[in-house]
Amino acid sequence: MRQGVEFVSVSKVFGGHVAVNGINFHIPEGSFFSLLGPSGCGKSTTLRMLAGFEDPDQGEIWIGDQRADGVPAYRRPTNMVFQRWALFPHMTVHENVAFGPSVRGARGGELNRQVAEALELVGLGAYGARKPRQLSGGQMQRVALARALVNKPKVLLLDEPLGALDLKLRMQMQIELKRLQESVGATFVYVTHDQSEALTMSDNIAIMSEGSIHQIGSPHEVYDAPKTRFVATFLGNANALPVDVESVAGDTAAVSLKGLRFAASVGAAPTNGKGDIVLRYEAIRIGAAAAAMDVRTKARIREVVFSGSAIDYVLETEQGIELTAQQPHIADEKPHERGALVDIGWQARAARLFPQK
Amino acid sequence: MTRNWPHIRHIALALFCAAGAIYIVAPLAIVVLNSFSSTAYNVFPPEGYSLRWYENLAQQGAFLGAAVRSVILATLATAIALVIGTLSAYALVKYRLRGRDIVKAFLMAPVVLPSIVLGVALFIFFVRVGIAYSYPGLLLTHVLVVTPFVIAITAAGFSNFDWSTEEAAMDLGAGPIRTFFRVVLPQIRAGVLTAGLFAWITSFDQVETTLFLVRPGDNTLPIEMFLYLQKWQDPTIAALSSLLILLAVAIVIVMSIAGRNRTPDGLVMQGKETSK
Amino acid sequence: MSVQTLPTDVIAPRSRFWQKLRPWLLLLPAFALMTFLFVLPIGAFLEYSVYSYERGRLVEDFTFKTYLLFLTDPYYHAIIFDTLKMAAITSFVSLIIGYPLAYGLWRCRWPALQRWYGLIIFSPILVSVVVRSYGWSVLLSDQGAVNWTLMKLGAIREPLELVYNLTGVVISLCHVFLPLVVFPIFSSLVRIDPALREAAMDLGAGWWTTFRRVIFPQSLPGVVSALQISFTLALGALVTPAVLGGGRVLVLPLQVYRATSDINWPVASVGGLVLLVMALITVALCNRLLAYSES
Repeated sequence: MRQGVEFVSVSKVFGGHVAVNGINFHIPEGSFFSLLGPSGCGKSTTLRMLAGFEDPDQGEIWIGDQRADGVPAYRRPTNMVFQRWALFPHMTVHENVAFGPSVRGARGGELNRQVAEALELVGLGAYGARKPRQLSGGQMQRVALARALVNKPKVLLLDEPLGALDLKLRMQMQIELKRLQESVGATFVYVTHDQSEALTMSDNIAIMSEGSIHQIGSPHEVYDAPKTRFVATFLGNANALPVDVESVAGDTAAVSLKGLRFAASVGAAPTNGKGDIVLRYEAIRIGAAAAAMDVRTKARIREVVFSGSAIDYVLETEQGIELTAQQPHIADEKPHERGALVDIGWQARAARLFPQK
Repeated sequence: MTRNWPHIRHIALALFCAAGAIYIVAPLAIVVLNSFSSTAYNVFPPEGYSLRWYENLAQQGAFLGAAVRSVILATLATAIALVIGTLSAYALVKYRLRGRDIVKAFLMAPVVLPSIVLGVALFIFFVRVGIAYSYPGLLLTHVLVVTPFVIAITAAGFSNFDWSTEEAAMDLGAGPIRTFFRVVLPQIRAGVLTAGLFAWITSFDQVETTLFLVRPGDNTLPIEMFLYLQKWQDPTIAALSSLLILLAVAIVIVMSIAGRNRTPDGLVMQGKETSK
Repeated sequence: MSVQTLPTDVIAPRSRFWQKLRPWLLLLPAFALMTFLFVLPIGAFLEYSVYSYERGRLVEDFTFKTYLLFLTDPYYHAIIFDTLKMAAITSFVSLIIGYPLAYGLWRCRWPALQRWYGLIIFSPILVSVVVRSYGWSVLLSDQGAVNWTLMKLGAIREPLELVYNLTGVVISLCHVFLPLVVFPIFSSLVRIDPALREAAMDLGAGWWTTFRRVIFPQSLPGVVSALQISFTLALGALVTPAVLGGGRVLVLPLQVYRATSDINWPVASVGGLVLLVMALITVALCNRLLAYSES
């Protein structure tokens, strides 16, 4: 008995360009699943194939225990929240939300009840008579949500819905979306290029690039244990260091760069003796904290960049390696100064080794 | 740097435009004036004023019959052309068809052709096929003449259309037909109405295409007038023309009220631009 | 909570073929209309062009006689030449008049006035060409308002012959074409980025230089469009030359009209084809010009 959503070897080609290249994944029913990747990676195409606006050229799509590919969009148990909301401009908010149920035959009192319930759910109970052009971006967002959720879909699809909102509103909506998903219980499939959205809301994330899925896992898994160089560099901020690989033994490797020899964890083993080390900014400790780290060396501070909640230090190690380190900014603690020579260090497992690009 | 007096070229342009307005209105104004003249011959200024030509007009049943025929024909032709044209415009705008430009040029072809050529060709063809002087032939001819304009104007009306609303409707469970009527059509309503108005007037005013297709004695109004003018030039025709001008003025007033928050750019007949 | 389920009858993937077919199905009515009422009649035209008309009767035998007639008879040469001449003069004059009007409409500073002026320019389209031609025949006649005004002003002593000749036809045709000429030019002017004008002025260009080097070149696509419209319409004008030409302006459409009435369909067909070819050449040339002007 299948559950949730499943993609089996799905491919899609546009003209000569392979947008989606044989992807496989399973989304557990009732979870919050994100497709994360840069522009053009195929995440929107994947979502649209799930919605029914595109047909896969190869492969199968399953929603629950029924095959979905080949079924037109208006017959699928999915509903979508569009990027620019796609509200019907000639209808009021009430009529917009009522559209889905009315197509399925709801009328009169029953219809009004469903609409009212959906609008209450998104906090817009009093806005029924307004037209879309009278609403703010955030309000339109919620109407789009209500219009989709009123149909009680099995799967709710969200296509970068928060992109047009300002930062504060976006963060507020992220919390609301997560809350909604938990109370409604439907499977949410969320497409975005913004990693903080994916990391804060998702139960599972699929990282995509150039039509393929690089890794699927929980936010912690993909962040701390990236399996490809792309995933490692896409999430967070990281240093990418080209190294010589001296030996590989299972999960660990010994590498060297400009005379600095250290251990690293293996993300993917290189084959030709050369590799790239991905080391996150926040993994490098400076000063007293460096003493407890596996890998230790000294470095001179070249630049200090203050960005509010964190401070970035651009460093050059004794061996001449350029690194950037990030420390949280704690008020009252003095930041290190430009030109200072400091101890730096990191844990071996924080450095992930991948084949060279 | 501010000026107290408008620059000479601004004055010159304003004068030219005023002269242009006079040029545009003059023949229509003179027709109205003439319709009240008391003499049968045209002279300016009129020697006297009278309503006799309107009385004369009222007695000419031929014109009334022709007017009714024109109205019915224009309405039917417009209705058919709106259906064919809107569907075609929708297909052309929505789908990235291979050879879309060629298809568009093909559908616009009747506009490029001189009307008399089309009229004569259709006449000869109808005779050949045995349906000369038939009403369906006449009706379809008007549909043919008018449809390219409907396509062009309606297609232009899609320029601000948000296609994601169509996807949203289908996502919410509406099939293609229901989506078209509940979501697409209401949004392009303005373009369709403009196209319909333009189509109706174009059909009503057709002369060259219709000359040989009407059954003798069953003329449309412009043809009745054209034939009358070839024989007589008395102001009866001026009286009739004045009524038609009045109709045009009424349409202009209605349009200006309806388009109150639109600039002339919105009134531009994009249809004329696509005869390429 | 009740949840939608997939319809179990729709399991097979929808045929890609139907998806591709849908737009062509939508276009089918238009295609049918065009085929039966445009392509086939032109075919009939072609057919009759290779027949001849002898001694007042139609002879349906294959011959190139009628084509030869058109190519060799100076009478027809004159008609074709007159038609082209009239179309050229009319187009030129309507562009000369229309461009400043479009420019004035564009630069008008009061939106209400702009709207009203636009409506005034546009409104003659709503009135039949028969009415307009009639109006000009009255206006331009010897006792008409134009002559009366000029004589009252002392500019002339004898009435000018403005009707029943080429002059009257040109004046009236320009009137008919004016809205169709003003609006393409206006459209292209409106599309000009206002920042361009400001940039030119900022760089020190006066009005004329700005106009000559920035505004006019940018409005050329509209001018070419207007030229195409007025020229092709002038080629096919029938009503105006008939009403205002007084039998002296023998353009090809009139000839075709007469030939058809006389059942001389071969001549009508060849004449019609000549008009068609001239119109197509105009469109092709203007498309070239348009591409050149947009670069």
